[in-house]
Amino acid sequence: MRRAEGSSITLREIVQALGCSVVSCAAQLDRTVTGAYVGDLLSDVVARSGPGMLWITCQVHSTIVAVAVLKELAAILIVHGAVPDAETIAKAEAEGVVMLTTTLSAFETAGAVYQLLHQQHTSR
Amino acid sequence: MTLAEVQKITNAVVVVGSDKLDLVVTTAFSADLMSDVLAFARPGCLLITGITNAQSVRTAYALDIAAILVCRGKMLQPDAVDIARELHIPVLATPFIMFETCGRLFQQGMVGCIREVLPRQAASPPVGMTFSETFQVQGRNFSAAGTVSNTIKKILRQQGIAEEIVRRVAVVAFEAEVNIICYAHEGSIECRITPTAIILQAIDHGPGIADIQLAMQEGYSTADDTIRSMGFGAGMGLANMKKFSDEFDLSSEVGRGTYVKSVIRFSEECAGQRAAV
Repeated sequence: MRRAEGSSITLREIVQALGCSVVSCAAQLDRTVTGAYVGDLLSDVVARSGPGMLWITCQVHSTIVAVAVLKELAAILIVHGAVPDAETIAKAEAEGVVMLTTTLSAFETAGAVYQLLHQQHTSR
Repeated sequence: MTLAEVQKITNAVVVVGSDKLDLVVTTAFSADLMSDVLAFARPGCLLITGITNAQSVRTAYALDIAAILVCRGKMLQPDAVDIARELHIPVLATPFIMFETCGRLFQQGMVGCIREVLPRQAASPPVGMTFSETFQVQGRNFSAAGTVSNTIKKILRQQGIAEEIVRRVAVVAFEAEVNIICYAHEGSIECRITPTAIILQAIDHGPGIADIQLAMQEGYSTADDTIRSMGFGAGMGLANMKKFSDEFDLSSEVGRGTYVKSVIRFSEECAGQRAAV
């Protein structure tokens, strides 16, 4: 079955499907994800991402939290095995920003999330 | 899939390389930070990026990346287009954001050139870690060629340095070693690991290089038949060393010897912070 385009899934579904680690705001995984944005240039993310999106990036600098708040993103999914430092995690907790991490590459992560959002159960 | 298929799947336009659309690419890497590309991308992959300056083209060239797909409706800057044309690197441009681009290609069977970054591949050593060792190289000892560079490679692997960095250092070290063996009486290669980079310094006592600019040209070589018969002396050594270095410095004095310094940096933005954890 294919969901209509523009449909949403929850952060929990993404965490379970990709095996992500949750590093901040673990109680907020019921949030819905309406789409995703992949990028490491903060100006691009600020200009083009939208509310409810999952932001996939390899950036771990604490500025990512401010961007997520500004753009009302559903969560930040940090790829390539990068891990934010304690200060960034504390900031995310304080601001209510969900941060997830995965060792997957950005391409593989984007592909998997894209499939989840489009609900195509084709085996690869 | 072929570049023509990539073009179709991502509604892309061909910026450079319309004669190369039958090129087959099976793996992809997506990033905006060239430091990440350098650390993790593999030869032969399709680079999906939002970077439009010449940096992306030069990085692609250094890593033997098959083609570049610029996303987010951006266009490569004119000077970067010229360089891509010169280096024969196909460039496509898609109006899609990176997520849509990756998703569509993934669904059509494209895979990541790396699936994941395992902890041991953390791009740089623990903060504050330094290491230095000097290896002696004997001139004309052809049977020993590769010994020093392979030892250096092994040490770097043991230190958990990212595979791409190891690969680049190994190439530079090998060429430096072969140069000493081919042309000098004796020399040494020092390998230093700092928190931000790997620094190779090769010093030899030998004839030196009269015209460095000429020597740096690909294909130029003063190698004799003995050297060539062993598969060396194609005139690619110095050019290769420069290509795989972030910083490259060469000085020489005729009749005295030659000094080569190569700096290969760890990725700056991601990896630097990753290492701090």
